[in-house]
Amino acid sequence: MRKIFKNKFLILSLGFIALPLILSTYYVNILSLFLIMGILALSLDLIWGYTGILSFGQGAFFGLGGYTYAITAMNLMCNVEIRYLSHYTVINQGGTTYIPILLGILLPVILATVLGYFLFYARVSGVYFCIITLSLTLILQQITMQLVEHQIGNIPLGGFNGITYVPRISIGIPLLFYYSLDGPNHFYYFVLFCSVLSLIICKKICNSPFGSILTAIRDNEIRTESFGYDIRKYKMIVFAISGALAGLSGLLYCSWGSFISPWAFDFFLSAETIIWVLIGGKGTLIGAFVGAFLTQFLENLLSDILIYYWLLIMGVVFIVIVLLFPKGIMGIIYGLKRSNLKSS
Amino acid sequence: MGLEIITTAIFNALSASSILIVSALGLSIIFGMMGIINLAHGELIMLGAYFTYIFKSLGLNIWVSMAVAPIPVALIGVIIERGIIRFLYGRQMDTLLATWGISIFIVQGIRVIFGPAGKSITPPFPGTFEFYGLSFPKYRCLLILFTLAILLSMYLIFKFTKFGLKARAVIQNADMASSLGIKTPNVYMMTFCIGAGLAGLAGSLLTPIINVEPALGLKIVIRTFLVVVTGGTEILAGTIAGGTILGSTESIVALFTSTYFGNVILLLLAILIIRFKPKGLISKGY
Repeated sequence: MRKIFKNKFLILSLGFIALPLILSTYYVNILSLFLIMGILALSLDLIWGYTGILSFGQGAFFGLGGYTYAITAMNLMCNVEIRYLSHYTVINQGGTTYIPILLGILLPVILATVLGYFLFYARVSGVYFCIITLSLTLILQQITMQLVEHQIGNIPLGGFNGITYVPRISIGIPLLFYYSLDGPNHFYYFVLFCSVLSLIICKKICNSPFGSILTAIRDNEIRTESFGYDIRKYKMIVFAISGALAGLSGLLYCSWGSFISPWAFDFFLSAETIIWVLIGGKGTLIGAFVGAFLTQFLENLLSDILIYYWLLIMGVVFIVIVLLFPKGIMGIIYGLKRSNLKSS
Repeated sequence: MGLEIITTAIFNALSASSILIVSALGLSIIFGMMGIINLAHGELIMLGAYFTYIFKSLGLNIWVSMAVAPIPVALIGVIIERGIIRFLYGRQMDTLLATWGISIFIVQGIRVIFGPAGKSITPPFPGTFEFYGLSFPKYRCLLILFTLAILLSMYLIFKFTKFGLKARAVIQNADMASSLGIKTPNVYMMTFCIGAGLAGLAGSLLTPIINVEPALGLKIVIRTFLVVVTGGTEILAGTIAGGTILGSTESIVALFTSTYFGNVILLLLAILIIRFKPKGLISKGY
């Protein structure tokens, strides 16, 4: 079974590597976005599908990662000249972006750890956890919207408009040479690398003893605890990992569009992430990517025709899936495979 | 000088608390009775505001339209309960997700019908009270009284009516209540109807002081969730405690510093309360 998974995984990855050869630049760009959102969905699936904690706060880590990347990258690499209020011109001086990437992952991890410490050690769970994480996201959005002329370093936060002209991710050896991933294909490969890496890491985590404990927590918290596992610690750790993934996704998104705005903390982004995971099938990891791809593909296809009605349809789909197909697409596929095995 | 600031702070705290309590009450009743967090609560508030606007533009008196607006919202609540939530009892997280789907649907539906722009209604009770050189908006004073009246009537309903008796029985032990002949599904339906109606009432009462727009629900609803979660499952006492503490703290901090700092303090306070009282400030069994 594992061998099959690996082979399929390899074929799929090769397919994704080959895609830019056929697709136009526009679609390569869109594909990068899909992958970035797939990482966000993956971060939710790790904590929701595997550990059974529904977090509405992935948007908070996503946005925090993006903002951190934007602010540090611009402070380190750019000459910013403020014209008036929050309008400015930027001269990119170049350099590698290892520090912004690192901080963009580290800060969400710290936030997740602190939040996890406060919530899990108080045995907050279920709907209470949802509400707290949801309010965290929404309050971060309100705060970022109100911070218009406030500066961090010499970057104005821009309020509703957010931060623009954020430099792309660039790699290389610090102080010697750097290479900015400006071309859509280069950036796409970087994103692909990140998503494959995070998928493999998640798979490894879930297949390890640590992962079994997470599944045990999901299935029966009290029993796991009476076996002597400190579930609070495990929950905190997995929440931190999930925060890191969401932060990574956020900073990639920020680099992709070279801007970040309070939209990152939006209620609807969190809702969509949950829809992706639900549609793909929670607790399957790859399902997160499937859900994110399918939904966004349809959204791209249909939202031109349907404009306003797209969200209406999403609302209905959401309700129908919760009511009738709680296992999602991958859950149904795995279920079919299992029943085939049994009958043959 | 000192006295003026103190009076303003007290008035702001009272006003903010009453707004919070009024908008959280419906959510709290549904949560306390059925254990369901209704994420569509904000949208029900928004519907209440929109129905007030509709009745007003149909030519009704503003007071009449504010009084009538909760009725259609309560009916919508019944439809939601019968159509969707009924199938999800006992699956707390799924209910949460389903009500979220409903909320997305309602917001977008309203946006399609009325457009994204806000509508505003002229306050029915303009002007201010003058008090030692300080001025307080009359409508906000009235709102504090309305809140007290609503709380009192809810107390009377739960304490002295037949429905209240059944409802309290269901809260204590749903299985036992149903085996004693109480139709629990009916009680649940009634509860959801009242909860939705109260949300509608909150919407209609807040219409004069807010901008009626599709995103209205979201703006109000964060605080109400925090109120209910920090308040606990004891419906009235919990809501009053949570609403007063969070509302006064936020408004006083906001008065002395700035709005967004008030937001931060509100969230931190809620997290702290939940850290030390995970079941909420006032709840049974503690």
